[in-house]
Amino acid sequence: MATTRKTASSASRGSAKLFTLKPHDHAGIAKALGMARSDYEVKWWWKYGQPAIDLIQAQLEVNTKQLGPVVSQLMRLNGPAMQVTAYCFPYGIPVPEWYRVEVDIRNAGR
Amino acid sequence: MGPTGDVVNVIQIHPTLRCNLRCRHCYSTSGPEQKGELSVEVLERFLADAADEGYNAIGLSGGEPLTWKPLPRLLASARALGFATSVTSNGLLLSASRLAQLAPHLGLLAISLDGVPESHDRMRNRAHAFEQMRAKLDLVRAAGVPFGFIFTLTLDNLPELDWVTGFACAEGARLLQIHPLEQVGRARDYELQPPDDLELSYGFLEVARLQRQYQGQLTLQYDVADRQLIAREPCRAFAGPAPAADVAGGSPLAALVSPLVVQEDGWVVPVQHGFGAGYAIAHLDLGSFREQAARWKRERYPRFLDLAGQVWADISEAPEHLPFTNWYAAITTASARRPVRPLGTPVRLTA
Repeated sequence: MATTRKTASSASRGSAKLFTLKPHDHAGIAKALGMARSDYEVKWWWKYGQPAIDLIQAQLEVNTKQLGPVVSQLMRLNGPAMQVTAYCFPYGIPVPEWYRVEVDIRNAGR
Repeated sequence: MGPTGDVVNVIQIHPTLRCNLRCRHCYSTSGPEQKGELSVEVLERFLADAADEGYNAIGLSGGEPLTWKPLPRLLASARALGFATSVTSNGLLLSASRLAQLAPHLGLLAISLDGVPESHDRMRNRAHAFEQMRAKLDLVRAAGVPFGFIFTLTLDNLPELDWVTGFACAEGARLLQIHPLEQVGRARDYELQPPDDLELSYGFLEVARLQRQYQGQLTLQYDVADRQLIAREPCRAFAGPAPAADVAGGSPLAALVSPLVVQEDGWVVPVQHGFGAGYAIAHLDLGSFREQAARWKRERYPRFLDLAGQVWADISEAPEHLPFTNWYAAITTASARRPVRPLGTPVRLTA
């Protein structure tokens, strides 16, 4: 898109104060990016104002009826890139009426 | 599938554009003069339907979400439905009592941080905004709320990212999110310059360096689209082959489009605030979300995919040294340039 391809003078670039790698050194930038990709990858990208959902710790209080659907919903988050752990603690023993569910969601890729 | 993957299906909610600040880069032109707000009852009904459609995470932003009184209630309702929750805030309105209300229901608090203190104050249009925000961090830690920072990358502020990362780590943040400025809303009025694709390449190099330096202490999330990734997995930009109509119609909406955005005017749109109204999925005042979503899958989803395919065709070719771009800005801009007829005229929302 035109908005992302427009050029700026190197003087106005923040990177001009940081890098000796010059904007016209296309091969050098491409090589540096290739090396950096071994350390860092953009696996998904988020919209402005929306924090990445990969570092969630939560405590939920759900009643007995809701427990199954809520845990199922949480477990659906599990996958190769996301690890979800949930611990359920019953309230009201011997007949549990409420559960405290402690959830830890981590991005496994980092 | 979409840019946030197929695991976390997220809804960003803007319950109000009311804000205690009038930031220079605000994409939604929020400020103290904004009065309207969405009703919590309507949002609760929407979230129940949205959970059935496969969404499992919400993010509250605005406006300043802390100016919206029902915030704790909505977070609690969302949690009861199994949603992960996050709130994005400028941090200035945090208090011990407010945090005590939020903490049981809040997974992550994201606080805006725009650079070194002078830059932060300038961007926030408020003297001492940085020091006021910093003073609240003790309260956040005491409340036990996990928190992170969101840094807006402009054409000229990349050198400040090193300081920002050190600050975030020292304060105990778990996440530092780097998002490119978009020249919409007030950012357009102030003529702030977003990073172009070349600056995004340099930004990637700096983020990779900082992630290496702070490995194990802080997660850095760089919000740019990687053309190499999209070329391998076009569905991340909704640019894959369209499913058959009966398959799309039978799929939960979250399998077709995420993120979803609930705007302060009641429109539910795909991808980003300000997305072309002709592609809107529903309006909170036009009846059941489930029914509107079913209609969208039949009537609008093919047009949305067509738009996404055109955008990917426009941006896919780039030199090897410019692999990154701001896809959200590209598709949102394109959605306004290729309008389709809106769904209908909503009745006025609660004010």
